[in-house]
Amino acid sequence: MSQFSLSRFTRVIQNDALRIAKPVVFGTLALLGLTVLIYLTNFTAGHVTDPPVHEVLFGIFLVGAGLIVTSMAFQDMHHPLERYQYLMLPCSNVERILSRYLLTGPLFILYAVVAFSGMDWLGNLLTDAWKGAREPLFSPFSVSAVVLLRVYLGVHIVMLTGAICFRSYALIKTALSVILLLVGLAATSYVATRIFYWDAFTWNRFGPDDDSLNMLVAPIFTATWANVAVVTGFALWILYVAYRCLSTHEVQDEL
Amino acid sequence: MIHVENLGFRYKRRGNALFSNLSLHLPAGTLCGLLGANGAGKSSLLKILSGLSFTQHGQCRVLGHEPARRTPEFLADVFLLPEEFQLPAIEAAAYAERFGTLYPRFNRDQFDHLLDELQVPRPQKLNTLSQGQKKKVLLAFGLATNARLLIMDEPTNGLDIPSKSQFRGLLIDHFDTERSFLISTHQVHDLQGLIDSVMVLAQGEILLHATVEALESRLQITVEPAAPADALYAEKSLEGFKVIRENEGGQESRLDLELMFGLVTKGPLKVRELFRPEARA
Repeated sequence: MSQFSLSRFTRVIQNDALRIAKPVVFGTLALLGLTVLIYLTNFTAGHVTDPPVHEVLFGIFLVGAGLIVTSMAFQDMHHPLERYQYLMLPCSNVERILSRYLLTGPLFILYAVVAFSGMDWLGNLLTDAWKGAREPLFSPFSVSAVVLLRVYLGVHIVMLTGAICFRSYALIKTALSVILLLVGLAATSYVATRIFYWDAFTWNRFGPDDDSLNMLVAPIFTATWANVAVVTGFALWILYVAYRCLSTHEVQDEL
Repeated sequence: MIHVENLGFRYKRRGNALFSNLSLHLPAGTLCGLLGANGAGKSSLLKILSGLSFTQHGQCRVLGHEPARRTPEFLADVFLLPEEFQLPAIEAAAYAERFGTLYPRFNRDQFDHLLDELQVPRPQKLNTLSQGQKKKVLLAFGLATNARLLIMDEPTNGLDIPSKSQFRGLLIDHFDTERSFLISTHQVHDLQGLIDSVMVLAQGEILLHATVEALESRLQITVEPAAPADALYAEKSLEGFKVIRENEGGQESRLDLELMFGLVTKGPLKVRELFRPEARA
């Protein structure tokens, strides 16, 4: 047996999918109800909402629900009575982590797109039948949807790492950690900028008045698929290292 | 099967080392009882052997694997029945389907047969079963995985009297020279007549590891009205004093695990002297 076996991985991911299936289905039904209710109360004949309601709802579904599901991805590993079963299953750490990454990341995106498209279609159908009002259907290829998908892929990996690191309240603790980290980075960057570009710094701009620096820095923050892939690859590596370290300490101190 | 040398272990959040120089060797085909007082580190040792806890120093090899690496091969060959656990809200058949398929030698028919033998009610969601019934399900599952090493932590806790007898019977039925069962318990009576070797863990080390046969041939247990001066250990009982002496006359007596545990924990030097390799020769 190796660290990765496709047949074994298939069984691991099936198990993990069954574990989260029930809460995901109930969550979807709740969101379906919310979608229909919002469509019925917001849509009027001859008018189109701006920004489109489906954009906001898809954001809630994908990022909101997705992050909640992700924050609970390793709940069984942290549960004192369930962790034995999870940790003693004959599969590798690579398979464990990849399964939960795929389920809460790319596969959740796929699920969210399909489920939300259905909700949007049903909501429109009901609103059309009841009020004679409908709006353009949701498209996962629209600019705003694609931006949301990219944002989710980036934020998801951070939340998954938080789900491993924090034994309880992973969602809140991860969010707070990220905020603290960003504030720290911003403060450090600000101080560094003031030190290295003192002469170029003006109070009218947050940063140096130097186009070459902007040209150097700007592409890093542009959300191209290449950047997302690099960031995701890097984050996956961090995630795996975190998983290996944390699963050991976790068990050692709490079992 | 299990080879541990100079193992050192401490919990990071606690102070002192639990084990500083622990060594043990357990061959294949052993049904071994692990005894120790509360806090002696029995459960910790079982977790180390299962790959759930990680040692600070020393060597630990189980079935030729380093448990801390937690490879799928290792995990497929070791089954841990913990003292306390939770089962998912699914039926036994679904449980076998979901988790059994990950064990290469899992035998579904054997699992079903064992559940019948243990009279586990079916179909019923596992999370709604009593703790004793849950333990039976996991024991049946563990045996059906055909893992070469079955590690059990207080397996008889929560079992009623008939179930304890069933438990002993099942272990004997499923025991063979390729498999080993390591059972940690406080309920020494539950192991009486079941195990073929005993390990006593105290003061961070294995104070005694001997076969039942060796213990029975080297120790003599009698009941006497008073505690004699030449006794290795004596304990008050309803009939008088249960006394352990060195067996010099060659008379065989049945091992009393509880008494033997008292001897080992209260007079470890005497025991080491008696069971050191030269003394056994």
